[in-house]
Amino acid sequence: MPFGGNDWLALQTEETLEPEIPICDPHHHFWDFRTERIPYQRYLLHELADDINSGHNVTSTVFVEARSMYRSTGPEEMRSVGEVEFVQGLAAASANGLYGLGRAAASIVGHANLHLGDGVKPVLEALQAASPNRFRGIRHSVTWDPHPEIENTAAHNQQGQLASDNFRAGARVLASMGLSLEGWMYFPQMPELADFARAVPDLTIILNHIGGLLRVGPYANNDEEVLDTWRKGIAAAASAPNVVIKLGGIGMPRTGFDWHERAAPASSEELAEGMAPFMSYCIEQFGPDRCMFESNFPVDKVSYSYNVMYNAFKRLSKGYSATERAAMFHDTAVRVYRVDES
Amino acid sequence: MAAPINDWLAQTVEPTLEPDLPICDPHHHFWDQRADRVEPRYMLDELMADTGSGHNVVSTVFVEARSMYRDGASDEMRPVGEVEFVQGIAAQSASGIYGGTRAAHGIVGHANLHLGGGVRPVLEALRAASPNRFSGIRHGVSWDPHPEVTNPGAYPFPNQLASEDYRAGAKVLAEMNLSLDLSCLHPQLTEVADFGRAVPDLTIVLNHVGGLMRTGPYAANPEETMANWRSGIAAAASAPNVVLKLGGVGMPRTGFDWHERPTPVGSEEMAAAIDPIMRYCIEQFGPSRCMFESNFPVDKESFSYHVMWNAFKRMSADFSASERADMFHGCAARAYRLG
Repeated sequence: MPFGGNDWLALQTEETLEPEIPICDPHHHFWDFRTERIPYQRYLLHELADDINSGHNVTSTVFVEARSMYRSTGPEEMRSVGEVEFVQGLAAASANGLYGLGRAAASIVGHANLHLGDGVKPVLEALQAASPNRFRGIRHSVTWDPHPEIENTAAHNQQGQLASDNFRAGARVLASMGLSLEGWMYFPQMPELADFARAVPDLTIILNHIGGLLRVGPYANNDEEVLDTWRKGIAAAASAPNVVIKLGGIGMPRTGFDWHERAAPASSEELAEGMAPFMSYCIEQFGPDRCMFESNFPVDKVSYSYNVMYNAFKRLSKGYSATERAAMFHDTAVRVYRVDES
Repeated sequence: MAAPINDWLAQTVEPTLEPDLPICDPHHHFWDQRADRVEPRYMLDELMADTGSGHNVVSTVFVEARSMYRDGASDEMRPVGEVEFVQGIAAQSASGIYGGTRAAHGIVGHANLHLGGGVRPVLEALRAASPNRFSGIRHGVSWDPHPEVTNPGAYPFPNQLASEDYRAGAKVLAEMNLSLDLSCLHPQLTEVADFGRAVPDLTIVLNHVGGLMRTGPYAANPEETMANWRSGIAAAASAPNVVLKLGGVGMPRTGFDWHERPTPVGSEEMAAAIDPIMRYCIEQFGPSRCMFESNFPVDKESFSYHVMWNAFKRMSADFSASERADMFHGCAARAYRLG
């Protein structure tokens, strides 16, 4: 195992900062028997509950698809319905209150293949039927990079998806049903996202993980050029008013911070200092009303604990007003995903 | 983090008899954080540990147990949370990553039939929570006049089955092609027969060999108790829309006292002990209206999952292959319309 697990995270414990601030965590996964080489191969309700109850005031969370619990039978395009059915069940267990006050998976983002074009409609309807009260949108990852060293785990590993006619037709069906789309790509693709967003102006697009920053492999040790491209991409994406952004995902090793390689986890002070230039630029470009801090757990858990991570977000956002921080920690996500916290 | 009960049960381990025989286990529960129960957490992992212990359990049916009710919802809608929750576990199981058993392939939730015609929106909400697996509800009517008998369930009052509102609710169930699981105590079986005839289009699944009680006030005169139970079973069987679950004999109220042993009972002894009871039920209902059930983890207090099915198999060894197929699988699949 190349990463430390909960034992390693326990080497860096901190008091929770500003534990009263309400948080909606708009991005995490649930899975079991995961084959990824991370220590968290089971991340179900009990594991999430341990994290969201570890100090901060997490009032709700949003599940984002991760090819989890797909049906083992039936037509290929419908298999992802199993994931939403499954998460709806964990959300119901959480809504009982047995696992704490926070409402886990109060909103649910599933998957459907937008390349089906208009044919995606029955899939979206099936996802809606699987969770009539929590399903809010889908993610269809478009990550693609020409360098063979960049790992691509997307189900549809191809170039230029955002520009394709069928993808856009599918996206229009999404928009017509009042559903949102997660934008998950690598940072050189952000100009494509800006074009796409303008072509489907009624669709709410949530750009994941500060736009897919890469600073490893061909993008390592080249911050001047890489960050210039990244900044231009963020500015382009922000110019489309229907795009909002998730501030997080920086715990993924591909962002190049190498926090996962430490003997002991980094402190929130250090994390905040490392993240601040990236987050500040995103907030400047998008404005706090279009920004939401996210955990991306358990993926980001290879680099820091939930408690330390939100401490870092709180430290780096200290200079913003109470309203702006409320937007970034809670209100933007609740609005975009129509989260019901009751 | 296995419950202590598993250590006790591990003392009696047997080879699995007839491990190929397909089984639908039509009655078990899921819950978490129930310190008062023999297994405080009984979720998918724990069920899979049991169903994976040797027998060929191809599917299971979840039966309501006031689990994961929705906090903050109106009283009548709170049980919708349970079906939503179980639908999720069923989806997990249907992914195949936990093995071939389809857990909660059918789901029996709860709705209050005393709502009469007003139960319809609740049933519709339950169906919306599981469009593909929700097959019916249970509304227990157990009630006993003796002060020594604790009346379980959410509605501890007599004669529910005769009440107009309950019957009006039951008619809505039947109209919606949903089944009713009935738990009662054996002195109430004649009420079940009347009720069954009053709602002839409703499939009624009578739980736990009709609620046999041989403890407390029913321990004093075993012959009278058994005579009453037998006439009650015969009465219930006379209503053709009633089917019967063969199980629940691990509950202490049935008087076998297996839970008090230093080591758990083996399947030979268990089969011999339950034989007269099961045989009478099968004789009255016929194999096509009987289904063996685990009632786990409640019955886990008395025996392990694999010993229990061994006992059911031993007890039924002299029935024909098709009769056994009914009792181990077919009757449940029909009653709950499992696809």
